Amino acid sequence: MRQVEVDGVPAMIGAGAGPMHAGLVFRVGQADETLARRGVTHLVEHLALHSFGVADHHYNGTTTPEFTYFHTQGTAEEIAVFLTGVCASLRDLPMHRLEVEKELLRTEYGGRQSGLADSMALWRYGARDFGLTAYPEFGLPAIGPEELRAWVATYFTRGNAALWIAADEIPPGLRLDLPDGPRRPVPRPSSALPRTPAWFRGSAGSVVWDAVVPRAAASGVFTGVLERALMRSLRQEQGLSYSVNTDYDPRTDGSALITAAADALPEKRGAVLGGFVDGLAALRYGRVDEKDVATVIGHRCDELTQAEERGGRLPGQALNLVSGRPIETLDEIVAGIRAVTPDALTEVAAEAWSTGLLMTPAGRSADWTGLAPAPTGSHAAVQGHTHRSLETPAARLIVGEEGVSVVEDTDVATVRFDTIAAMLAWPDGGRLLIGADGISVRVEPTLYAGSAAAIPAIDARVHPAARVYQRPRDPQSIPVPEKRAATPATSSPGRIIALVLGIPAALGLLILDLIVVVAVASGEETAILIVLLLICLGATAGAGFLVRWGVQGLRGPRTG
Amino acid sequence: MPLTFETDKAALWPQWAAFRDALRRLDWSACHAVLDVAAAPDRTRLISYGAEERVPEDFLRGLVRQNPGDPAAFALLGRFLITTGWNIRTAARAQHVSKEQWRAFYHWLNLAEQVLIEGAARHPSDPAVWTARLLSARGISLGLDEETRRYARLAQIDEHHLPAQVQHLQQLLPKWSGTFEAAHAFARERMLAAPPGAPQGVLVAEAHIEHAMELSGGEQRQYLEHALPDLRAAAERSVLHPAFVAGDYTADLALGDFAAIFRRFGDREFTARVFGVMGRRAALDPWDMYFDGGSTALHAARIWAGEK
Repeated sequence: MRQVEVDGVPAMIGAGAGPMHAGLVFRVGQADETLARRGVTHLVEHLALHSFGVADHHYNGTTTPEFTYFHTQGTAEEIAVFLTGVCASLRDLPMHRLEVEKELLRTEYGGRQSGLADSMALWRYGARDFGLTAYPEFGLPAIGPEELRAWVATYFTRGNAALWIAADEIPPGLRLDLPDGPRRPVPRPSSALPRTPAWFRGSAGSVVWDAVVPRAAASGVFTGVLERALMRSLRQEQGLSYSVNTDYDPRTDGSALITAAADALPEKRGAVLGGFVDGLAALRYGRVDEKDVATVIGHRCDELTQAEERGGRLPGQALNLVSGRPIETLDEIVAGIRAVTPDALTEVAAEAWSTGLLMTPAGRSADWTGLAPAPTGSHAAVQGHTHRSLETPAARLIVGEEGVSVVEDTDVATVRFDTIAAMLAWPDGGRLLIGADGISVRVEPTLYAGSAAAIPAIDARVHPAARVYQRPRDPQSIPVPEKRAATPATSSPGRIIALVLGIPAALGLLILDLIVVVAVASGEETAILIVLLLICLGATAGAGFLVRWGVQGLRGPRTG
Repeated sequence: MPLTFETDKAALWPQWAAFRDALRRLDWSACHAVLDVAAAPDRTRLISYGAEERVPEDFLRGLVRQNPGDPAAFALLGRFLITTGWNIRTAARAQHVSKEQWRAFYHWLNLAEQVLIEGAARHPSDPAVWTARLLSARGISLGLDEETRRYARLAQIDEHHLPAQVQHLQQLLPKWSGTFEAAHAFARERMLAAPPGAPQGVLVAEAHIEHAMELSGGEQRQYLEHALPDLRAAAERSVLHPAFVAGDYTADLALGDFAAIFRRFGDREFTARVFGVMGRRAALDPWDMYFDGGSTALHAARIWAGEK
């Protein structure tokens, strides 16, 4: 494996035992987007690949939180044609395909399985940078040719790219004709958690936990050891879980995100939570099984050695090149992994616990663990004009100069105009405002007395870049008030209240503390919206989804 | 049969006297000298009784900090925090506990949990730590499944750990989150798993008395009549079995349990037989559990049992 340069783009090349493959990676991903333009990177990726149609050789594009890459497998000639063509397409995106590709992306989203990791991102980061993977591609309706060209000019440049080729030589005829531009740093991860370790109440049957640790050999080994320990205690010894998965996701900023999840039968949720908490505790208090450590180290080293032989380490090396990280040889990496001791894992476990975020199974609290509850609402409502709910007597919408709030009893959800991430707007007046912290407020003129008159004032105060105008909704999906008796928020199952951070009241899984106003709507775009808002719900399907991260090295890839 | 009893726990159980005195002196190494030679169930009981002593919390916290390798320190601190919470909650039925009492109760039990999570992580084979975790799990309603997971962990260490079995039986009752069927089945199964003459027969007796106390009037009378043969059989297998060894506090507790429960069932013959094994030794805890004024009830039962 050696480092070369192709048309000014740094490249890692080296022949592997398997078929020839190559890829071009750019340092841009979902984390670079805003919620109101969410999907722009993926859209670029789709448009850039359009011209290849049904090529004979295998090719694909992938957008992750930090990277976008185009890769292919085939002969030297096919590789040269593909990568040269991608660069040409990026220079001149086929804008006539814009609306069709948007439709395809909507379909792709509708067909994807939302992972439990997605809702974790929302709670940890909010509706910005690394939290954006939790949301659908909300921005698609607002993205036009100019915006796409500007995005490409900023990110899809020579200085922000790297190449890998699993071959001895650079394929003849390969030309990477990209515009000039600097390397773009990865955004710093935000936090929606005032304190860690933290927990929140999930609506699925599973326990999910993630943690931010240093990107280091010990962290990767810890992840493997954790999986073995949890598998043994939750599945093999006590039969509480069917599937236990972990994922180690290194990031360019020198950190890594560890995720672990275990599913549970409805009658075993408390026990899975308890066993999970005990499993984490055992590792951080020094109960690390030395056989597990040896096994995990052995597996990882074998995998890396095999990957090296196949050329499977090249993509990762290209990611390092484009993000300015050091290139390590196989020997260096293997030596680092072999040097990991049980004591080092105990240290990782303690650090992981301190930065951790735990999602409990539905209906379970984690107060008793000593974790801090993650915020489920806003501290205060805005001052302004009050519109009473036509459905729930205790609920009211407040529209003020600074933002909008929905208040029901002690539950408050506020989106301030100065920190709004996006506002989805329907021609009938319906508005969904989502704050940077992930808290959202839905304004439905049909559900709050006199609120139709407040819509223009809301629109005027939301920065144009945050607005996303939607197509008309199916009239039947515009909510109408259902009169109900005064009931405490805890038991009101209906349309009005209580969802923050994407957990649906509408389907009866009412998570008390969470507040976002939701009026259930359907229709094409809102169907997508609902999918997202119900992200935790989507996760109820449970076990199968957990596997989503485990397989691939990159978390939450959207292939297209 | 004597009419007067030795009921002082310290006199009946010299180990307890030594442990209690050492604890009152905050002399942890002397405490350890007792704990280290006690049988596992006795050790768990010593720690549980010790948690009712007025020991400064700081002292116990210091023990854990300075001796993270000492499971007894975790168990004692955990039990102490649980006891503190439970004393605020009181033993009243849930509907008679005020909001403030609940809040304080949860506060203390959550603190206990956090100590015991660490204790169990560091010392996964300590039965006193796991027994304490059964109480805290039940108190803060972690659910039958979680409490059962903990009991299963404990049973892997010591399958006949009576102090834990008694706790698990409580969780299996409907007043916590189980059913009488599950409680009776567990009690019977654990009794039969233990060797004849072992005190585990009390599990069957406690399941019956708990069941009877949930009933009233004719239903209760019917139940007592129906359950009596089973209760007698349980006594025959444990405290009335030739292999039963009287003379220590574990035996005193089992005998007291049976005597008090036979008295509640109105079974003069078996109450008298159990008193016959007790001799002058009488643990008051069971009488306090099933009667108002344990000492009075004990003496009244003795007189009643001796009447022809």
